[in-house]
Amino acid sequence: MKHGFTQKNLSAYLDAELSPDKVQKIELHLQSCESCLRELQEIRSGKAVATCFENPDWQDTEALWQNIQRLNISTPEKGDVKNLEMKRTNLWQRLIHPRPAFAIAVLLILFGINLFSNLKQKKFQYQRVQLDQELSYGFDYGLYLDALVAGSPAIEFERRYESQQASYEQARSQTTFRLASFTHMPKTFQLREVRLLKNACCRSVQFSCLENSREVIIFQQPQGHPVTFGNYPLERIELNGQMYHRIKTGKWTVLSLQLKESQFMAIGEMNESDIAAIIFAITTI
Amino acid sequence: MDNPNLEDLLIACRQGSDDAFRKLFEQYHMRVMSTAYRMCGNIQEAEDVTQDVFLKAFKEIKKFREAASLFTWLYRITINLCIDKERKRQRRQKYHENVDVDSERITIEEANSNENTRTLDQQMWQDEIQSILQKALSRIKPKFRTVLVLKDIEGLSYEEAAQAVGCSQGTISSRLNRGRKELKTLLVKMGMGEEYFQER
Repeated sequence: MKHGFTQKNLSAYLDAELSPDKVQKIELHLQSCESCLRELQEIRSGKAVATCFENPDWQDTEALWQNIQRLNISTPEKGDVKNLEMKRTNLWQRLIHPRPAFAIAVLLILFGINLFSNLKQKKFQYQRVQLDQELSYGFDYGLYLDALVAGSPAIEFERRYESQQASYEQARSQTTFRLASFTHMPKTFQLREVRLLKNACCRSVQFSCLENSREVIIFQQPQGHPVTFGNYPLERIELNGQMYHRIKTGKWTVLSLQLKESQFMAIGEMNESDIAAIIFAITTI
Repeated sequence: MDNPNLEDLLIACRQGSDDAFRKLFEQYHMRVMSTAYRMCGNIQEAEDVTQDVFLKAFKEIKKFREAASLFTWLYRITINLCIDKERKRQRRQKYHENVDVDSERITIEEANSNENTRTLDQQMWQDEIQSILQKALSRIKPKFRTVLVLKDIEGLSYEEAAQAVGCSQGTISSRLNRGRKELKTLLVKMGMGEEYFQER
């Protein structure tokens, strides 16, 4: 006979809830087990004292019923305990509860600070992601920028790589990485994303301009892999002591800026004031 | 089954009859209130719980089908609401396991030694004993206290208690072992005399 079985069932044994065979087993065990016998005595005492509990005199249960009825009728969803808890507490008391009130006050202050700083600064806020080093192996940036500046990247790209059996659509279906994105920009231009499409056949890269002509892409070239500009004439310009190159073709403008050892590029439709803002953005990266 | 007309009562309740709700309340409120009182330890909370139990029962009675287990269902709601209430209370104030055991020992020993007190004011003496019993019960962990209340105080069978708690009868037995032993240990610590531990 196992010790554990007896110990587990001692209460059931005392309460005569066990089948005769189990009772017999337990009694047999109790004859030879002092500790189980002591345990049984403890439990028996506990059971005996539990019978001493008396219920208090309940005052007015009619009032309790009236209250239940009132709450049950007055609650929109009959008897919804949560709603009742809400009703029990005065609405204003809940609203001016210290913790919610404090949280609301903090949120309002933060919102105010954010609004004020936005109104005051109107600065660029952006995240910058370095181009993957892998990008720099054997790509023909110059070609692609030519195509982009010409305003029809898809056609130019496809024609160029036709011989290598890599179509623009094939390239487009490959992995896309978000390289950079701006969260707040002036109304004049907005950088949305730079997309990289990797193609297994020709290892090409595409910086895809979004369709909205007011969008400008800014990206940073890895060291030692300067962008070439094909046959387009470069215009060398100085702005606020900063030298940059500009190419203008149709509605597109390409800016190239050398900062320390990195080359930054901006591509898109932009006017003179946009250019100043873009250069400011690049120099503060 | 407590009442042969329980099925009819249940149907009337489902149809939203106020009279049926009233009958249901009259039939079960004392059991609910007593269980809540034993679980919570004070009359005010017991009344609040009773109120919530019936409101919840009236709301959910449309979904309830088994008339036979109506009162165990009410017990289950009661136990759950009591345990929720206790958790909320514990969050507000740290639960002290060993508070006042010594001071209660003095109270009960003084009462034991003062025969005049016992004869002059038997009711006060009884109240004092009940208060000590309730304090000891409140210190037992809820899961052990629940079965102790259902089985030993409310007089449910193992099967009914198992239904109300939602566990097996074996579990009820082992939890009862623990609950009964703890109750005895706590009362001995508080100075309760041997006469209370004798079977009646």
